[in-house]
Amino acid sequence: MKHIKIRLSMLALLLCFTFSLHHAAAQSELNDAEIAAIAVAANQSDISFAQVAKDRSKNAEIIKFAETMARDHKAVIEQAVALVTKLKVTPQASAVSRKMTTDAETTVKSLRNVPSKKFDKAYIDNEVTYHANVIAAVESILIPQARNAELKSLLQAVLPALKAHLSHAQMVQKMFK
Amino acid sequence: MAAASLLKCSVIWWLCSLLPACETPEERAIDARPKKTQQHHHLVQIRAMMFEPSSLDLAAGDTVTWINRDVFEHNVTEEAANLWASPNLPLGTSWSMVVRETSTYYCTLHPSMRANLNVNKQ
Repeated sequence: MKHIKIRLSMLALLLCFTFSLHHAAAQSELNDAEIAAIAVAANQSDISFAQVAKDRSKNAEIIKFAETMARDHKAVIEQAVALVTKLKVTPQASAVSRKMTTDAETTVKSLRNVPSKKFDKAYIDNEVTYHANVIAAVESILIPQARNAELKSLLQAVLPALKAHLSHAQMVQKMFK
Repeated sequence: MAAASLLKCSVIWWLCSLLPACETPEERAIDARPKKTQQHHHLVQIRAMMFEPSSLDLAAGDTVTWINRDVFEHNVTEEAANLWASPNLPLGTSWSMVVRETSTYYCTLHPSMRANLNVNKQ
């Protein structure tokens, strides 16, 4: 019974985080500075999740996956920062990026409190859902709303990586079914 | 008379030089050896989480160079038994290898990235 409650609690948090980006972004028109801030927040969220995995997991596949996520999302942030610096645009917080950050903090707390035996599955389930929803948001909201061609191009360049991450997460997830 | 004799010798020498039958057995044996095949250099580009081309036909002994033009680090690793592997390649770096065998390879950092080297040994 306790495990069922924990699972339901994790599921609720996952849904809360992953759908917030898509729904909040869909409800408002975003400018390029806000889109840049959302891109940074989304990548920073997954780096935070990866850090928890590196701290808590003892599974080699989970740790390897988390290291790849941290490395790749850090690379995207560096590209985004380089671009906004070049464009002389300051990333601008919005309701969307603020909610993403808050939800990511909640998910991190939840992942830190999941019992050890349940952690690996909780982490990789979150990764699958997170990437599926970020892909949907980037494709249907961020790319269409980006006005600057270079920002749009960066978002388009990141999509194959997000899809590869999702595919990788789904492969790892099969180990925990 | 002397000029006619010289002309006759020249014609015979010229005809002899054209005929394979004039070669010694040793010379014929050398000619019969397989010619050394020309070794080629192939380029595989890594971009947008893909190897391009994803399937490469080549001859044994050819060299393949992989160059990373993606934002992310990648590597090139033989899939079946980890027989060969590159180090992780940051953006803009490359790695080369002489290919001897047909193989499938992938990026261990992004396992959905796969490609093939098809060696024609003839």
